[in-house]
Amino acid sequence: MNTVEVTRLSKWFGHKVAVSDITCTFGPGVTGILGPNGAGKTTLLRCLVGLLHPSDGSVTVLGKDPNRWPDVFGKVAFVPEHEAVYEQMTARQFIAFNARLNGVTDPAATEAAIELVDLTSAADRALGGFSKGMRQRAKVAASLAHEPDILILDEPLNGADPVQRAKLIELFVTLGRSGKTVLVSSHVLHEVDRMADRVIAMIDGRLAAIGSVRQLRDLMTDVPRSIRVEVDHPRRLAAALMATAFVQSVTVEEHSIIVDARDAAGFARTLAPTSQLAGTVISRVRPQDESLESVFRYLVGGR
Amino acid sequence: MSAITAIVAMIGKRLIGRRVALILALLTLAPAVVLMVRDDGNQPAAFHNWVGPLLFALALPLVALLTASAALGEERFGHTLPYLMVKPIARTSIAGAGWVAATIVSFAIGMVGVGSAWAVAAVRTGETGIGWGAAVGAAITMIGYAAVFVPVGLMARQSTLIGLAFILIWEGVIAGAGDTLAVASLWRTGLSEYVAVTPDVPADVLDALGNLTPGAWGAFAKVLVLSAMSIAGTTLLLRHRDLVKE
Repeated sequence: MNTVEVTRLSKWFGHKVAVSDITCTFGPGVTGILGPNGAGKTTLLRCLVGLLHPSDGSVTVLGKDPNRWPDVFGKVAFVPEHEAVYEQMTARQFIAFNARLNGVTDPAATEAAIELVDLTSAADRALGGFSKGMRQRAKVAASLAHEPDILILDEPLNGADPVQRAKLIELFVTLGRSGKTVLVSSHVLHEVDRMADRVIAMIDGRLAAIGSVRQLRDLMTDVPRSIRVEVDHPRRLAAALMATAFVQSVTVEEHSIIVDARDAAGFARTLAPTSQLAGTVISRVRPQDESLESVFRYLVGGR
Repeated sequence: MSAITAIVAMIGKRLIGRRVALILALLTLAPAVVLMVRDDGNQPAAFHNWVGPLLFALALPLVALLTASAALGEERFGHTLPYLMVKPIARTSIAGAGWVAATIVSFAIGMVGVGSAWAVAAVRTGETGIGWGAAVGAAITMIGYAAVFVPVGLMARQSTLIGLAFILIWEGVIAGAGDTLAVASLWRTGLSEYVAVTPDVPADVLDALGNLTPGAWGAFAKVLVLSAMSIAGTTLLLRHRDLVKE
């Protein structure tokens, strides 16, 4: 069952197109919205919660336009990317305030949310004195107190330390498994990998890929990788590598070669034995374009 | 406590807790200080002459501007507006809550000035009821200014500059230049209420009203209509404008 539907959504600010012609749906489970900074993830999420109005296309949440029917927010929670909070409030007051605005007045709901994110010992401290990671946890707790069906979390792991990061990921996975629709944006691939059943990859405001983490990984395996190999005899190794099936082209430099590999995994397996056979000594191997953005650019180019 | 009351309380606490609120409160003490040190401070006319022009024409508009424009403006530009917007609350309620909080806090700060001048005048003149008109007039003034400055604060980051231009150019120069435009001046509307409920107001204070006829209910009705228009306008802004940055 789809709880959130996005149809041909575009959003532009003046001449800048932030989101372009996106159509997708979301349902129960954790969906990761993955993309480099500036890919349009935040704009998409803000359109979902009515903070931005689509320039074209439409968004429905539980079958309703969130801009026209704010009552749907009773079943929705949003954790904004910005770390701004009401600094004068304590964490407990902030969570209770958010719960109250959602119609929940039972203090037990606030206490349960505080415990969920391990903020019990700091609950009576003012948010103004919180670290970024603690603020994130307070924001997540504030979003959970009214037990929403849909959670929309914009980079919720930013600033959290590794232990808290792991706990938050576990929490999101648990919520997803309990039937809630959880949308989590991130620019960190391995974080999304750990929590999301399904991934939407975005770049330059466009939808680059959609599917399970495995499907996205398969797509990435096909990306031609550019790899720099520092070696004592560049020409000798270049000639040997060109004879293998995994290499598309080689650029020879003074003390290194730059290999465009058709299959990065196959190249990795072949490099050492090929070098040994050619009688060369490799001192360093490093990918030229391993960034997430370069992978996404490939995915977009392939569409 | 309902959701709307919670928003009013949250915004109110934030507005009153700012350092600028303390500075504004100190600013409004000027008439009290003047009444305390001047020889004619023991005359009822002195109270009206100093509280009238000094407080109504200058201090109260400034208090209202710096307070009301921050009511929803700080939520928007301080990035906390999503905590109010992504909630099952009608936009009209958020707009109304902002206006109520702005009015209450502006009035509370303004009353520091009215109350202190009232207390000094009561001691020096012996007339304990001398400040009622000023208090009611201040309430009317703050209701009107909150209606103007809450949506301006939500709309523009430069709301203080826009508001200052409104106070100094429109209210100070244009509305004061011709008698007919005085009806569009908010502090004069508050002053007209003050004059209407205060006997024996000096001629200088009456002159400031221009062609505005003192009338308690007329001024009240005017600011209420203005407030209704303001809440409707603020609701439209909340509903139809992108209130977070790209």
